[in-house]
Amino acid sequence: MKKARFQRHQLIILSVPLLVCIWLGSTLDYGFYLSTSGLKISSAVLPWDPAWSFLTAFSVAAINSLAAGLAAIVLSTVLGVAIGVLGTLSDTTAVAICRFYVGTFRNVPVLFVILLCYFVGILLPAPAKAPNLAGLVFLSNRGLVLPEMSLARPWGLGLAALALVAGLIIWRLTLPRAARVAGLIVAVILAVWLGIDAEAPQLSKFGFRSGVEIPLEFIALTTALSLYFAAEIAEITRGAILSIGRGIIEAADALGLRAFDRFRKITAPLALRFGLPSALNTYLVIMKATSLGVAIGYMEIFSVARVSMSSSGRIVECLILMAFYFLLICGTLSLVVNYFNARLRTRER
Amino acid sequence: MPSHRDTSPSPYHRIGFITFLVVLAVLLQPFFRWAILDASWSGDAETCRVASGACWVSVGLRLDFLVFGFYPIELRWRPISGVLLQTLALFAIWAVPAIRRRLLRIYLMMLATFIVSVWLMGGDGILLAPVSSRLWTGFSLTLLLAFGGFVLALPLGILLAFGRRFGNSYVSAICVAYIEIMRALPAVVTIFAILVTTPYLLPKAIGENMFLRVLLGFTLAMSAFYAEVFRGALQTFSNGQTEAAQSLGLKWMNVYGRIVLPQVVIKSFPALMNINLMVFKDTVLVLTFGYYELLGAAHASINTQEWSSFAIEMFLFVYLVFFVSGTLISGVGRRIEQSLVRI
Repeated sequence: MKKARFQRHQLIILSVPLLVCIWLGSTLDYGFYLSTSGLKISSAVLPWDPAWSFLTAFSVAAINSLAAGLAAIVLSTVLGVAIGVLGTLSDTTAVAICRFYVGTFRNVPVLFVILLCYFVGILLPAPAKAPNLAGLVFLSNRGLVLPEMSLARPWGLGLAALALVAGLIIWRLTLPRAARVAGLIVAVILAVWLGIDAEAPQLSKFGFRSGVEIPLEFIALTTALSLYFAAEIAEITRGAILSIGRGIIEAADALGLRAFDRFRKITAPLALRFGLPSALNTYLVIMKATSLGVAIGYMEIFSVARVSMSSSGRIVECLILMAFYFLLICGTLSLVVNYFNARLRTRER
Repeated sequence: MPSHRDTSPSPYHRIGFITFLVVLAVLLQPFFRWAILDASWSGDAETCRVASGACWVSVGLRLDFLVFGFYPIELRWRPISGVLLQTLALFAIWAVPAIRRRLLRIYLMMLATFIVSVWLMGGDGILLAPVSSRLWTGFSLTLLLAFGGFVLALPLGILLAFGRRFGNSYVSAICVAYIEIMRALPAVVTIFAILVTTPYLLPKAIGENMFLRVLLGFTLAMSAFYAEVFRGALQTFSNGQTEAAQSLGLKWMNVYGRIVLPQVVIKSFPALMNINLMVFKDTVLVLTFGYYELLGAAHASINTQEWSSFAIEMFLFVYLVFFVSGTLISGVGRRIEQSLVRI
C-alpha cells in the first residue's frame, strides 16, 4: 500500500513540470527560431550576416559570451594565483600588495569596473595616434589591433622545422639543466619567428585597413572581469595555501626541500585540491557575469536576446533560449566540479 | 609558501619594502598632482578644459542628480528624509545594544525603515502626493533597493533553505529546482525576465510600477543566494535537537523559529554579511534597464557631450561612495557578530 502511494506521488511530482513544459512547448512558435533575424551584431569572434536566422544569432552571441568568459577565466586565474601566493609569503610588502589588491575590488560592483574600463578605453587616443608595440600591436579607442598571422612559405616552414629539431637535440644532450631549457626556448622562439608570417596592421584615414581587430567592448569586458575576479581567485588561493597543515610544510623542510621545490611538489598540489571547488564556483560566476557586457554594448547572449525580443516581440521564446544557454553552462561546470571532486579526493592507503 | 617560520625581517625584506614605497611614490605622484594640485574645484566646464588636472566641478554640479536623480525638486525633502532614516537605522543597529543583540529586532528595524522609506518616496495620495516610481533615481534608489532586497529576500531565502532541508519530497524538490535555476541564471537576466513578463501576469498596480517590478526580480534572484548560505549550516545541524524540542511538546513554529533558526543564522553569519554586501553591490544591475541608481545616474551624466571627458572623476567619486558604504556595512556586520558571539 505504502509503496503504491509512493509511486503515485512520484508520478504527480514528475507530471506537473512535464505538463508545464508541454504547455509551454505547445505555445511556442518554433518557426521564429529559423526566421530571418535582420539583427545588427558587431560580432567579436564569428562573422555575422543579418540575413541569418535568430537561432544562428543566438549561437553567434553564445560564442561571444563564451570567448569573453574563457579569456577572463584564464587571465583572472593567472593574475589571481600570483597575487594570492604573494599574500602567503612571509614578507610584509608582498602581503600588503595582496591585501591592497583584494581590498580595492571587494566593495565595488563588477559592473562599475566594466563601465570604468570601457570609459578608459574610450578616452584612449584615436587609431592614428594609438600607442603601439613595435608597430605590430595597436591599442586605440576602437580596440586592440593585432597583426594578421599566416603560415610562412614552404622554405620558411622547413627552416622552422629545422630549428625545432635542433631544439630537441639540445634538450637531449647532457648539458646543465639551465642550458637545455634556454636552448629549447630559443629554438621554439626561432621556429615561431620563421614559421609564421605576421603582417603589420596598415593605418588608413579612418582606422585600420588590415590586421585582426578585437573590438573595444570585448577588451573592456575581459579586462574588467579579469581584474575583478582575480581578487576573488587571490583570496581562494591564499585560503587554500594557508589551510595546508603546518606539519606537512615542516616535514618538507625537514627533508631538505628548497623553497621552490617545496612549493611545486607539496604546497601547490595540496592547495589545488583545497581551492579547486571554490575556484570553479568563481568560474561559473565569471561566465554569468559576461551578461553584463550588455551595459557597454558587447554583443553577448543577453544583449542579443534583448535586441531580438524588441525586434520580434517574442518574449518567451527568447527568454527560454537564453535560459537554456545559462543552464547548459551551469550544468557543464557542475559536471566538471563533480569530476574533479571525485578525482582529487585524497586516496587513503 | 606560508609564513611558517617566525623570522625577523631580513635586510632583503627591508630593501624590498623601501623599493615598494619608492615605486608607489613615483606612481602616485602624477595622480596626486592630477587629483589635487592641478584640479579645479570651482567654475564650470570651461575652467575645467583650461586646467590640466581633475575636474571635481563635474561631480559637484551633478551631486544632486547623483543623489536624487529625476525626483521633483520641490519634493526633495522626501528622499532626503528617507536617506537620513536609513542611515539612522543602520547607526541605531550599530550603536544600541538592545537592538544589536536580538536578530529579530534588527530585522524588524530594517523592515520598518524600508516600509517608511517607500512610503516617503512614493507617497500615498492622502498625506503625501504620489510620485511615479520612474522618477526615483540616484543614491536614494540604491539604498531603497538594497534595503528592500535584504528585507524581502532574506525571509524567502530562509523559507527555501528550510523547505529544502526539512520539507517533504515535493517541497524539497521544488526548493532545490528553484535555487538551482536561480543560481544558474545571472541576476540581471532574472530581473529582466520578471521586468518583461510581469505586465502580462500581475495586476496593473504592480505590473506598471517600475520599482516594484525591479524589486520583485531582485528579490527572487537574491533569495537563492541567501538560501545557499543557510544550506551549509543546516547540513551540519543534527536532528537530535529538533527531536528533543518536539518531545518537549514545542509546536513546529517554535522548533524552527526558536531552536533551529537562531543557531543557523549565528553559524552562517559571516557568509550572510557577504551576501548582504553582494545585495548592496548588485543594486547597480538595474541601470541596464535604464533605471538609474547611483552608478546609472553617474553613467548618464557623463554620457553628455559637455562632461564626457571628465568620466574618471565621476567614477572615482562613485568608487568612493561604494567603498565607504561597503566598509560601513561590513563594520555594522562585524559589530553585530561580536555581540552575538558574547551571548
